[in-house]
Formats: sequence, structure tokens, C-alpha cells
Amino acid sequence: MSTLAGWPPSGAETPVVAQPQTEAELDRLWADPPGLWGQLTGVQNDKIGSRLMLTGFFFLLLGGSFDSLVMRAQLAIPDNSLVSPQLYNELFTNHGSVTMFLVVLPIFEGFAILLLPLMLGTREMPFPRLGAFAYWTFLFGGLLYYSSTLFQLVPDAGWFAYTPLSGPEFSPGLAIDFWVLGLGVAEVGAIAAAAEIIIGVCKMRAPGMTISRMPLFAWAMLITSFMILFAFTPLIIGSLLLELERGFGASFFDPQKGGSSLLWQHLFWIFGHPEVYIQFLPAVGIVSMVLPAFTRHRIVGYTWLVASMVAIGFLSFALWAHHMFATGLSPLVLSFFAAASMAIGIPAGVQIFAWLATIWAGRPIWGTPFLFVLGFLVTFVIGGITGVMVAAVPFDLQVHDSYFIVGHLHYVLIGGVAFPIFAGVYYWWPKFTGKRLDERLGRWNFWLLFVGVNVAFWPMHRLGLMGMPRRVYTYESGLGWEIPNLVSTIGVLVIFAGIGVFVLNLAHSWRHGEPAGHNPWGADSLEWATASPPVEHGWSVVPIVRSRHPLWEQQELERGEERLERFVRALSEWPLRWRAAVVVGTADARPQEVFRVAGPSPWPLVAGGGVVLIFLAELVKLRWAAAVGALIVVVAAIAWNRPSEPPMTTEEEAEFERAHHVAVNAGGSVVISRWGMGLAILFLAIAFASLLLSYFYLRLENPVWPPPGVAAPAVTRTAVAGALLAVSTAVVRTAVRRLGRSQQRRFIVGLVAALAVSVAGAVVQTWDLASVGFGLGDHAYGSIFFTLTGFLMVVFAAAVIMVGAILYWALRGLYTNRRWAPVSNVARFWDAMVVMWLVGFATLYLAPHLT
Amino acid sequence: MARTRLIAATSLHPQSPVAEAIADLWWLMLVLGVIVFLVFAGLLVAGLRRTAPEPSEDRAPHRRLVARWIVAGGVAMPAVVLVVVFAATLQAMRAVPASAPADALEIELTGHRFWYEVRYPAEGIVTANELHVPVGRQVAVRVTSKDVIHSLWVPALGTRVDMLPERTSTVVLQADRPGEHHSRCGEFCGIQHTNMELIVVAEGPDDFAAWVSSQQRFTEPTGALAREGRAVFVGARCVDCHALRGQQTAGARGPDLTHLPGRRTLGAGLSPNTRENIADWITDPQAIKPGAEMPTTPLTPAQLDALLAYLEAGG
Amino acid sequence: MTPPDTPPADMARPDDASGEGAFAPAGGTPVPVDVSADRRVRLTWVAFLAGPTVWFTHFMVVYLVAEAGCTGGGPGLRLLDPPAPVVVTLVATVLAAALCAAAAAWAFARWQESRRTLEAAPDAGQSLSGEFDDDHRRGALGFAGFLLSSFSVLAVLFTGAPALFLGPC
Repeated sequence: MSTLAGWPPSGAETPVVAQPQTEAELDRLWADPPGLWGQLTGVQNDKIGSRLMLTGFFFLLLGGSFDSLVMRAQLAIPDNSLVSPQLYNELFTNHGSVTMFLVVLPIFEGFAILLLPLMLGTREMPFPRLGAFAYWTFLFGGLLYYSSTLFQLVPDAGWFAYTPLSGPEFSPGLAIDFWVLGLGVAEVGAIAAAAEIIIGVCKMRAPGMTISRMPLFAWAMLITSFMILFAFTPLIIGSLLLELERGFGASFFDPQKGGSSLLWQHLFWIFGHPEVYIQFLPAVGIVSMVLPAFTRHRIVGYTWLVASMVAIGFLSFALWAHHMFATGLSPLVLSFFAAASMAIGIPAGVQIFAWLATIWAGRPIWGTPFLFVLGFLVTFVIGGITGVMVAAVPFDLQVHDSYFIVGHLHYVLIGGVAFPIFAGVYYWWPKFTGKRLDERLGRWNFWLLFVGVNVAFWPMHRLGLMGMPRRVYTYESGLGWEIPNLVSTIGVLVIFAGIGVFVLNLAHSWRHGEPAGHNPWGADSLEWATASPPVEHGWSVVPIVRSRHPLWEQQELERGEERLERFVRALSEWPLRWRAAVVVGTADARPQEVFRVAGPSPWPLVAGGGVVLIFLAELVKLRWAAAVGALIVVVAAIAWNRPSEPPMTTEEEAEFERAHHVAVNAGGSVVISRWGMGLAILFLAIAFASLLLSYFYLRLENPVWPPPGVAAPAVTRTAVAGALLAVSTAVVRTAVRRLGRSQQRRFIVGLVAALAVSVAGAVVQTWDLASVGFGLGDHAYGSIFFTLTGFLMVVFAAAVIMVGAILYWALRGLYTNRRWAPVSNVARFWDAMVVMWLVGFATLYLAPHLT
Repeated sequence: MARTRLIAATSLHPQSPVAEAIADLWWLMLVLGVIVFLVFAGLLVAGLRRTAPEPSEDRAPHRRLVARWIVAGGVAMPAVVLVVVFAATLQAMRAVPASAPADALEIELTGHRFWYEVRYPAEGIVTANELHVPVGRQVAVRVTSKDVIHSLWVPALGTRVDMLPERTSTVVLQADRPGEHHSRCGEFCGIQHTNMELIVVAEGPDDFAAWVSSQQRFTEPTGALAREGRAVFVGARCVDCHALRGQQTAGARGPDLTHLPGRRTLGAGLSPNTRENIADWITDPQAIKPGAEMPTTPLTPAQLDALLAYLEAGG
Repeated sequence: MTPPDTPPADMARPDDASGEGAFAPAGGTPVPVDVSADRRVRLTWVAFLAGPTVWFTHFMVVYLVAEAGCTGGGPGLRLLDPPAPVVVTLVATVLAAALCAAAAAWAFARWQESRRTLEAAPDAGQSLSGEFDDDHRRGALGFAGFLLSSFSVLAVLFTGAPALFLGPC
């Protein structure tokens, strides 16, 4: 067994990135502006990524650590009165909410945004401004949530906020609104970052980095980001319904008015369980990156690991009801969810054994990141075993909401998630600071955490079996609960010491760390070929990847197919006036396009401010301010996407295209924006589907639908409106084809006609809505009716605004058959809007007639 | 805060057929879990200790490694273990009776913040925070909630079901031996979730019958003091929330106080049922159970005395 | 999974991949991107995700039928009353398992085919891949699709099996 002294191992001289003469010039081109203005407008991925991580860590210290310390102090001895019942409830609500929403996810999204461009061999993330927007919304959301402390209105209904406890009747104050709205803003940020990561991984890689050569961390983040999209969207819809109930008198969860408290549980856990795996999969990715470097062996079973992550991604969406085993679901339903919960043991087993095999095949080197990986393996396996236990329905009923679950989930989340985060920080810190962390402190850090975690959470399993429920602020003596609780508290103190050593180590390295060099660990992935810390644009010469382990198997990074060699060399010298990045084919990684990446802009910050203003206005019930916020968002979105004059003539673009057979789009990418629009539509479709499922769930819960006294809606006017909308989509399509034939006038006339027809349809529909004879607050029927309607109207308004903007720019002659990507994207959005409209109103108007 | 002592609620000391089936399932899973962990840990330690051969460019050993480790350890082992555990799970699920026999004793249990209302409709009994059941018989408990979600959780009997405001669920309960079992609220329900406890009293058939008939008897308070207490009960507005069924009072927001002296605890399991504790509870419930729904009632010592006498006599 | 390298003859601007043929090079720039591989690549993605998708669809069908059959009292729901959930579960399980098995066989065949292609013409596709590894040309995605579909067979059977032992409601 080697020790760390042997680093880097002999013969591990790895290739480094070439440094052409243009490097300084490119560096300047890619740098954010200096000073405060630069901080506010900056979009560089390393800035956004490290901010996300630091902010996440800050929230961890605040909500993860401080809260747990106070809670454990309270529970150290029986009948303790250190904190009041109210404060205790606030503490555990805050602890859960902060760690689940404001800590782990931002840290992993930060890792991804920071690392992926270097790891994938590209210069930036696809939408730097979207990344900045994601950060601002996350920060504002977190602060809005935390500001509840200043007003003594701390949420106290648990991180799951079960209705009706979180509803207007039992939580009348503003505390829960802080929870719903503050975290809602942060959720918007999480989804934005996820879209950014999906497109980054799929489209922005080095030439030759085919999808099966992609580092496993990129795979993990790709799958995770899709899961975020599918999981957070239903939660946003759930939060919307809860806020409508709390603030607008709607009824979705109130049984008195046709609602169902279980609807909230479904919506929440459809998010909540995937969330666990959303946190776990990036950890799988990190472990799969660290392990090869510290065993000097390629990961065993790459394809198996990919398949297992995909399998977990799917399975995790069929587990939600295992949080609801006690709610009285039928035994058959319970067994389906139990089966799915257990089945996840197989992909997890594949991962564990792939890592074990890698350790067997290689020669372990005992660096701190490796220690954390080992700690991860041990604790996570224990957490996985107890996880299978609680998937067994009858046993789960015994320990549900007991300390057994607290023990289990902390083994999974600390062992399975926090340890890999520490491994990742120890592993990549030298890359981004250029300085090494101290190994001796690192070992102290690891052992304190490892021992602390096991001392703190092992006894909780026993407590759960002895019948100690979760979320109790005290307990009486004489039940045998004293010793395990005391031990647990001591364990938390040890964890604290470990985190202290961690902070100390970072501070020490920041000031006195030894220089790290390009590749201190002798690792195999691309990021280690760049300087530490890397230049602003990461890659002056974009690498050509010919292997899954480029730094181990390639002698040089810019050698490859001749055409590609010329291409990457040309890209290091041209263009030097705008930020150019390469788009590649998703699977085959052939260059498809060179496009201009967006630069610094104040608009993401403004848009983030607008979003938070909407939520803040609802919080303080100044609803007109929400309209102002919405206006700000619309204006910022338009200004953000305003097509600027391309810094290059079509002729210059064409010259590069002829030379390299790769399209050039200095006006902005065609491929990337198409993906962006696709994901935006997917997001809306998921939200729409969540609303439809809510509709049918409420329908199921109410034997009489519509409620007595309400007539089923008449369909005539809605049919007319739908027909008009359907016509408008055909008109838009035709208009876009006219643009393709350079018939500008007909294109513009078509857009105007489409707008006119569709607005006429919307007016007819609104006329009908004004006469249905029931309101939002009357019954669950009216509530879901008007919520779905409102959703469709908002989507419609967004589509109209988009077409309006396109029309405005078209009148100024901005679009030609060469620069037309925004036009076809808006046309796609229009199609999607019309489909949702037709399905939505068909449901609302036809379903009641089926009785 | 003095609490009552009861049999410890624990999943590992089953007191009913269902709890036994669950305990068997637990022990099986524990043994399998320990075996899986030991296999994993052994392989990990051995892998860390062994000296690997020089890395080579030959990929054949790599492929063999994949086949051997991942297929055997990562797929086959968990698959076998999971099939066994899942079969045992289904087996244990079948041990839970789907429905109670037609002649089963029926009890209605309603959750309130933060106490349990217990009704025996056929017997005409209403009480609170105590569920008396006869040993060896299946009992159908119909649970629901008046406000937020609560949960009935009796670990020793292997019973858990959420109490939802929108529906009534039925759970079949059976105790094998006489004894008293903790049942703490199993779903977070607000500020006093901690102090919401039901005591399940399993009694022999004769004891149970005796309890039933004692609950069905009402006595008229006779003493002057008790009659004075009745006036206090009405005047201090206790009557708005509480009922003494023998006395034609019908408040329903708080626990029914008929036969209060026979109950084991006050405040849903919080303190032993003694005269002093009742007095403390009446004068300042918020000091004992902060956040409980019951307001503070300022009474003179004489009024309190009378009220206590009334409650002791009232039934 | 990377298709054999095709000469950059039939290239189109990426704008064009959406099938809006009107955007053929009217404006006159050469069309430099190879999209000839699109169909094959898409099929590869289908093969990759077919198994889990079938599994998830199966899961939602059996869950929703059982949920609707056991709780609701809405229109037409009497159709779903017991024993419908059990019957639907068993039938759906057999169907879905067969579909997943077919998907597994299909992915396996694709994987074998790309391996054979590689062995028959070791130089094909070398333009991009170096000499260092050939895993990706062996159709890693196809293999992953085979693994996922095979796992889905197990998962479908696992999900559906309880219907043989448990009552519906």
C-alpha cells in the first residue's frame, strides 16, 4: 500500500493543455468585468459554480449544523426544557427544509457548473446567463426563506408541510407562506440550473468525447438534472395549490370543501422521494471520478454504472408512496411501491460491486478523498440495508416516523451524500485554488466525521425500535431512551469537531497551501490537463478526446483526426472578438456548430429580482406588486434575449464554415436554443400533467362532480375557442415557412393573423369563464377548474408575448432564412401551448359530463 | 413533569399475532442484512489489503472482473436477498387481517389536537385517551380525525394507521395478553405532538366486561359541594367544551369527562391522574402542556375544590 | 453506437435537422454538418430507454387501476372494482414483461451488430475514435440498453407478482 508521499506516482506524467499565444487575449475576452459591476453581471461558470457551493455551505452551517446542535442538546437528557416546544418544531422544520432544499442540491449544481466545462473539454456552460439567474434566484429564495427568522415567523409544520396542518386553518400566520414562497423561488433556481446542466452535458463537449466516453460525473449530473425537472415541477405545482389555498381561499386539501389532504402528500412525495436520489446520483458520479485516481485503475463496469444510474432515475419516481404506507392505501398498491423500493437494491448493488471491483483491480493510495470514498461505501451500505428494511411494508409501519427512520436517512444522506461531497471538495480544491489541502488535517477531518456520524446515528435505530417517535421535543425517563439519546448527542459534537477541522483546513490551504500543479492526483479526466487554477475560458485549444481516460491513454490532447486538429487549432485563433464555443452531436460528439456564448449581463439579476418580487408580494399580500414583478421578469427576459448585432458578417461565418465544415452562428446557437426551448416546453408539460393528475385525483375523491348546485359546463363557446386556437397554430406554421422562402411580408402578415385569431379565441373562452357561475373558492371543483384555466391563460399570454417580440424584431428585419432560430423556437412553443390548451379545456369541459 | 410508567412500547416485544409476524420479518431482515454487510466489508478489507498485480494493457482480466463481481455480487446476491425479503413481506402482510369478523367489537377513535376521543357506539361509551380492549378478540377500530392528520401507532400490537380528516379507515386490533401499551401519535400534528398519547388497555374478558358496565353507569352527584361544583362547571364555561354524560352536558370540543377518576392519565398521557394534577391542569393547562387547546381558568380555591368534587362524583 | 463515418456529402445546417426542408441552402452557405446519422442515433436512444419506459408505464397503469378501483366512486369506475385490479395487474405484467424482454433482445442484437461491424472492418469509424479504446464503438449504449431492459423484466415481474398473493383492496 502506498501512502500519499508517493504522489504523483512515477510514470504518471499526464498531458497538459497547449498554451497558444492567443491565450492571454482569450482570457481577457472571457473574463467578467472587474469590480462590483462585474460581480453583479458576471456569468463565468467558475464564478457561478463556486458561489452556488459557498452559499450552499453557508446554509449548511446555518441550518444543518446549528439547528442540529440545539436539537441534540435538547434531547440529550429526558424532560429537558432548554427549548420550548414551539422553538423545537421550528428547529426541525428548518433543519429539514434547509438541508433538503438549500444545501445539497445547490452544492451539487455548483460542482457541476464549476467542473463540467473543464471536465468535458469546453469553454463554458451553454446558457451562462441562465446559470447566473439560477444562482440569484437560489440566493434570493434562501434569503427570503430565512428572513422569517427576523420576523419571528419561522415555519413550524415540518419540511413536508402536511396539509391540513400547513393550511390556512391550522397555520394562520405567515410562517408557512415563508416556507412555500421562499423555497418556491429556490426551486425555480434549481430547475433553471438543471436545464443548463442537461444541455451542457448533451451538447457541449470536446470533439470526440462520445457519450460513452463521457466521465461518469457528467452522466450522473445529466440523469440528476432530468430528475430535477421531473420532480421539482410537481412540487412547484403543489406549492402553488397550497398558496392558493392559503392566500386566495381555494380548496384543494380541505375535506370540508371537497379537497383531500392526501393530494398534498402525493404531490409532495412525487418530488420528495426522487429528491433523495437527486442528491445521491451526483455522489455516485463523484465517487466514480475519485476512485480511479486513487486506485490507479479505470473504473470497472462503466456501462453497468451508467445503466444503474438510469435505472435508479426511473425507479425513484415509483417510490413516493412508501412515505404513505400508513395512509390506508390498498394492500396491492402498497406491495407495488414496496416492490419498486426493493428493486432499487439491484442497481445500487451493481454500483457497490463495481466500486469494490475497482478497488480490487487497482492499488489503493490513501489520500483523503479516498478515505471519504471508503467512509461513503461503509455508511451507505448500512443505510441501504436499513432502506430495504423500511421498504417492507409491515416493518415500515412499525418504525414509520420513528427514530429508526431518522437513523436510516442520516446514514443515507450523510454517508451517501455528504461524504462524497467532502471527497469531491478534497479532490477538486487544488484544481480551483491551485493549492493543496493538508493531508494530516484531512485525515483528522475524515475520522472525526466518520466516528461522529456512526456514534450519532447508530443509536437512533435502537431508539426507533423502542418506540421513540420523531419530531418530539422531549421524552420521559424510564423507557430506556436516555443512554442512546445521550450517545447520539455526543456523536453530533464529534461531527462538529470534524466540520471545524474541515473549515480550518480550507482556511489553512487558502493562505499557506502548497502549489498543486496541473494534476496532483495523476487522474485521468480532462480537467486535470488545465492549469490550476484554470484560465477564464478553460481551454485555449479545445482538446480532441480519443479515449475514456484521455489523460492516461493519450500522449497529446490536440492530436486526432486531421480535420479536427485543424478545427481546434483554428478555434484557438479565431474568433477573438466574441466568446466562441463548440456544439457537438449528442452521441457521436462531432462538432456541429460554433456559436457565440452570451456574455455578462445585468438582466439575470433583474429577472431574479422580479421573480422574488412576485413571491414577496404574495407573502406580504401586496398583490399589485406581483404584477410589477411579473412585468420586470418579462422585460428582463426580453432584454436578456434581445438579439444583438452579430459581431461578424455572414460572409466571415461562411468562410470558417467552408474551411472546417462546421456551422458558425455568431448571433447565437441554433442547436442550443432549440434544446432550451424543448426543455422549457417539457417543464410546462410536466407542470400541466401535475395539474391534470390533481384534477382527476380530486374527481376520484368526490362522488358527486361537479358538486350539487353546480351545472356541468356548456361546451359550445369552448369548442369555438379551441377551434380558433387550433387554426392559429396552422397559421404560425405557415408564416414560418414563408420566412424560409424569404417572403418577409407574408411572414409578418402570418404572425399578425395568428395573433388575431388566437386572441379572438381567448376572448371567447374568457367570455365563457365569466359566466360559469362558480368561483375559485367555492369547492375543490371550482378551485382546480380555475387553477387549470389560469395556468393555460398564463401559458397563452407567454406565447403571445413571444410572438409579439418576434413580430417586433421581424418588422425591423432581424430575421432572415439564415438567422431564424428564435422564430422556429417560438413556433414550437406555440404548438405546445395550443396542445395544452386543447387537452386542458377538453378535460375541464368534458370530464363533468361523464357522470 | 411526572409521567406515568407503562409497559415500554417496543416493536421487539410483540403482544399480538400481527406484531409477532412483523418481529419475525425484522429478525429475518436483520440476519440477511448482517450477512450482506459482512460479505461487503470482507471484500472491501481484503481488496484494500491485497497487493494487486502490475497494471497491464490486457483487457481480458478486466472483462472477467466485471462478470464475476458485478453479476455475482451486484445482481445475483441482491436479487436473491430481495426475493426472500419481498416474499417474507407479502407473508407478513397477509398476517394483517383485511377485515374484522362481523361480530367484532367496534370502537371509533377520533384524533383531536392533542388528544384521542374514544367511542364504543354499541355500548354507548365515550371516553378519552384510553382504549380498552378484551384480550384475544379481534377489535375493529374505525379511525378518523377532527382536525389535522394524526396516527394510531401501537408498536407492541403491530398496529399503525393514519387518522385522516377526509376519511374513516378501519384497522383490526388484537392483543394476546393483558397489559397496557403506549401509543404515541405517529404523525406530526403541531405544537403538542409530543404529548399526545393513547393507552391501549388489554384486559381479560371479565375485567373488560366490568369496565364496560362501570362506564355505562351514571351517578348523580349528591353532596352539596359537588352540586356547587356543577355550578362552577357551567359558570366557568367548562361546559362549553366538556361533557359529563350523566349530567346532560354536551360540550364536544374537549374530552368527555364522564368517569374521569377511573382514567390513568391526564393531558393525553402527560401526567398521572391525581387530584392535585387535575387541579393544576384546570388552573393552568398552558404551563403543563403549552399550546394545548384548553384555556387557563381562573378559579378561587373554593370553586376549584367544588369543581374537583363534582368531577370525582360525576359520572 | 457511433455509426460508420459517412463522408460529409449530405450535410445540412443544424437548423435543418428539424425537418423544415424549406431551409435548404437558399441563402447560399454550404451545409457543413453531418446529420446522416440521426436516425440510427435516435434508434439507439430508443433501445437505451425502452425497458425502463415500459416498466414505468406498467407501474403507473397497475397503480392507477388499483387506486381507482379501491377508492373512487366516479363514473365508469365500477368497471375497475375488484377483482379488476388483480386481473389488470396480471395481464399488464405479462404484457410488459414480454415487451421488456423483446426490448432486451433488440438491444442485444444491436449491440452484437455493432461489435460485428467493428470486427469486420476494424478501421471503420476510426476517424474520430483513437486507438485507445473501442468500448464506445462496441455499442456501449446498446449494451446499456440491454442491461436496462433485462433489469426491467425483473422489475416488472417483481412489481406484478404480489397480485398473485394479495387481495386487491
